[in-house]
Amino acid sequence: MATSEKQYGMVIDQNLCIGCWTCAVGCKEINNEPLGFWWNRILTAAPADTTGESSSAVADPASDNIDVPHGTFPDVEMAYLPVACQHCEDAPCVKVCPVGATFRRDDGTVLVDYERCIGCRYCIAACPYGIRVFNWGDARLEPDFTVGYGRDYRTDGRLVFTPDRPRGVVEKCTFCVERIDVGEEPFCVTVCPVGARIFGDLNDPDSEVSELVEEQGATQMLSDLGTKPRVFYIPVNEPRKTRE
Amino acid sequence: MDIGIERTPGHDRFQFRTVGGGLALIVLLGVSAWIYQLTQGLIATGMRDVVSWGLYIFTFAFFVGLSAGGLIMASGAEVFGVKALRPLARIGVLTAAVSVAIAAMTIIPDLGRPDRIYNLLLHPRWSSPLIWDVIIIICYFVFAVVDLWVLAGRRPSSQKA
Repeated sequence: MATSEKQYGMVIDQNLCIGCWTCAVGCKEINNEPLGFWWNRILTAAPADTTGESSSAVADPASDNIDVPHGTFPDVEMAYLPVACQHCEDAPCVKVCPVGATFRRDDGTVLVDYERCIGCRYCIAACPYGIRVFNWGDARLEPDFTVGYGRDYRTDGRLVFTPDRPRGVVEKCTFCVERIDVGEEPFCVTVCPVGARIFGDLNDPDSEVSELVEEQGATQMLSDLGTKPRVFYIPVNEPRKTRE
Repeated sequence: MDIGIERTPGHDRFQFRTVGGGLALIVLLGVSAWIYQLTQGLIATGMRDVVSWGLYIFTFAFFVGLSAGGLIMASGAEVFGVKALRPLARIGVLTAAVSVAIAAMTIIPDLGRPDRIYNLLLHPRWSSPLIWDVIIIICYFVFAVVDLWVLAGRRPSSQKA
């Protein structure tokens, strides 16, 4: 596989995350996501689960609802786990797509071609992170006008973002491809009020993401599956080292 | 086409009309339901992101299984020479051909964009098991039809041989 100079990645520091859902709402706003759509969600996980060797536990949320702690009262504990597309290097969704509508760009971004998808939903079944959403019916917007980026975006001639959802296709987080292509950060990184999200080039050893991955013991969700996500988590209970 | 099933002459026409009429009614209901689904989107099925495959895929698996059963029965008679299965060979192959065609058809309403199904031929990605499903189902259907044609062309006397 050809590789470009930049290899994008994201680090999410669970020690800093306050579970405010600003990234999720910001994501909905910039991408004009209809009612019921969440490309980005903040789950809760037991802090202990996020540190151990058993990486599977990381994706074992306490509940589908927000702010639900693990355990039985009074022995409850909770850590926030923001989950969007992990942009896997070895992405199951890319492998199972029968028509090549889901594809991986040279910079590591996994994208969906809105014009090629046949809506078989194999990728939804294959994704271990459960982050994909399908346009089951007509998009419902509240308020009913387009917000955010608001126009189509193409990469190599392929429609990878559109604010006007076609019915019957699958979609997901794009790493804000229209923003990173002009040198900006994904919107969730920009809006995070506590700086828990860090975005950058994993190929550059001096970038903040590279340093965090190398030095802060960042983990990948469900790493035992071998999907090699490009989104890393700094687990709770590990004191964050002060960087020079 | 003689498929090797005994007939009771007197009731033939009446039975064909009632059974055929009943089935046609069910087909009509199904097609109406599909048209309704096309106007609403797949939301009409009650499926959501969490359970994104439902009755259509289940039906597909059911008919593929039925089809395989039919062909296994036929091959038991024709390939492995199990005499007891001989009378069932032709009905088995007929079941196989019809079932696999129905199985392929149940996939079409399951697609979010059935209008783009040609992409399977234009842009096949070979790592996807679904592409192999398409190839195998097509080959299977062709094979079953050829087998049916061969078996149906035989003289009834050859059954007893």
